[in-house]
Amino acid sequence: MTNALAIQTRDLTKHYGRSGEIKALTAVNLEIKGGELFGFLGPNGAGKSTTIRTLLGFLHPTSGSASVLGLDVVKDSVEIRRRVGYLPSGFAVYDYMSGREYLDHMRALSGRPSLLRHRVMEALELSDAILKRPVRDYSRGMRQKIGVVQALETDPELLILDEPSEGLDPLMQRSLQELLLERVAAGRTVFFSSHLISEVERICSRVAIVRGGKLVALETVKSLVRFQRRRVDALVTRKPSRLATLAGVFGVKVAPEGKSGYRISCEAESAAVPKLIERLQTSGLRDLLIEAASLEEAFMSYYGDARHSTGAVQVFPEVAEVKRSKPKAAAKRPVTKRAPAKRAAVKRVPTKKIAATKRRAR
Amino acid sequence: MINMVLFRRLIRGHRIRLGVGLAVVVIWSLLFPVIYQAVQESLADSPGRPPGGNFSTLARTISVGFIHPISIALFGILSAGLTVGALSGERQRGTLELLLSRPLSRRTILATMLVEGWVGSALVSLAYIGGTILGAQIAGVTDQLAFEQLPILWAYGALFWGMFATIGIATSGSFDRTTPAMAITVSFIMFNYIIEVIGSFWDVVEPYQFLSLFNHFSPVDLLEGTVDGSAALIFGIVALVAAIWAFYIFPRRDLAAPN
Repeated sequence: MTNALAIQTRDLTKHYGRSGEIKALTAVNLEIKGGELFGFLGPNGAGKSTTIRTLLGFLHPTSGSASVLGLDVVKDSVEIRRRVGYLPSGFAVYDYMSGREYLDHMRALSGRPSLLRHRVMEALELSDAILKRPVRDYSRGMRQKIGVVQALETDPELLILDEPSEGLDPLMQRSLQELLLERVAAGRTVFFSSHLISEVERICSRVAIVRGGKLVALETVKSLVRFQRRRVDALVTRKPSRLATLAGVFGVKVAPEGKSGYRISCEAESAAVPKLIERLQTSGLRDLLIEAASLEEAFMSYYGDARHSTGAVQVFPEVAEVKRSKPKAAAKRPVTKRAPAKRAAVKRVPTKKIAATKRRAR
Repeated sequence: MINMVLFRRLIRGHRIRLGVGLAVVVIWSLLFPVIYQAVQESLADSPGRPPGGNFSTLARTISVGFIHPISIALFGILSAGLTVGALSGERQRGTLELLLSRPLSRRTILATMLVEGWVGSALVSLAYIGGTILGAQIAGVTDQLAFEQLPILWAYGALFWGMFATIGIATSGSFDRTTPAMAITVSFIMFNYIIEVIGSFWDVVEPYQFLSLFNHFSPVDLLEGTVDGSAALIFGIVALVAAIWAFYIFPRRDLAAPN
């Protein structure tokens, strides 16, 4: 299953309520190629699960269309589910069964042979002894592992995983990621919905970000990161002039540092970094810190402002259409709040390496 | 049309309820021939008292047991009780999502759950008749038991409670939680039962007794060989309407993420 589109949506819209007042999804356009590990990002309530549930036929689209593995999600829902492995968020099981009975039951319902159970069990450190115990005795993490096994064991063409790392410890999360990469290497497609940005960044080739039921970004992870602003922190000997007038440089702050220096902090688009460094060099650059953009920062640039100002994703103003061809436009929106933690790849750059930094920024 | 893997799992999930419930029904139903025999002995000791009333014949006594409130509760738990929590219960627990992720149409899932409800109805009716036969043997009144009428009594009992099981699945498929489905189904059964009971001693309500489904279910007539085909037709129509609703509404419902 490569090259052909595994998932395609065309203006997929889902509104709830008699007059459609609750807009869960609005004109979502997605194209996910076969053999791709696709990340689907968004906080709770953004529309991730609604999209998935529409793809699987649990919800009926209000308008638009969607196909999975070339099959229409409304007309061919049963056939789609024959070929898809699914792990829902908040995975629930029949408590009176043992782990093995549950897996056997779900496999029997799927009507397909178990091809990968032992491989997945091995990766997730699930033993036969554990599977003999009733599911009601399982911890949340153990239940989640059972959920992963049932989704993967028949080696489906497409895996749709909604928050698959929920309840798994970091080691198991890593094992799961390796398993998914294995499946992708074997030609399978993975639709990976998560709010854990770091894991999406680690394993996914492309990512879509949803907000308030709309797709606000659909890019490769690298592209998304590339177009995010860098945070620049510099120490110069002389007070620089006209920094704020540089195109692509925002929020310039200049503060005296010690007896004969100034601390400069600002944000800059990647394209503006070389020019900014040149300008700083003319002011006697002594130290430079550039924070490389992470997917989290890309994500926060779509979410940060409105989240802090409104506290609710659903009431966001209509700010963003799909910025597939204009990622810079997204980056131009002011970023007033940034994620306090998880800054990725902080680099302290000595002055002598400035030239190299310039080349990287270019 | 039904999925046997799912059916086996449903039966397995309800096996304790079914096992215990059916055992209680057998014990409960065997009491009535014994009670009948005790009443007859009591009447024989008091020759002055007329032999009328509900315990005057074995058929009437069995009939009392069939529509006794305890029987209604037991029959309801083992028929409509199985279906009313089937879809809404799975939905509420969050297990319906995984079930629906398998290549099963919603109609197949619904039909399988409905069949389980009808199987429960058939079993509970069978258990009642089995207990009755056992009780008749214990009481030594098997000669008064119309064995040839027992299959028709079983069939009517299964149809009557299968009808409520169908109403149960219709409400279950209409709600995301068990509570409203349960409330509607129980209210429907209670309404019918109360109309029938009140109408039997209150003249004002008596003309409306025919509105009660219980009014059309008369085990004594069935045991005495007076089979009213219209009753079966009524039960069948009500069950059919409920089934049509269930098969219409459930496949069309949006199943949003469980809370």
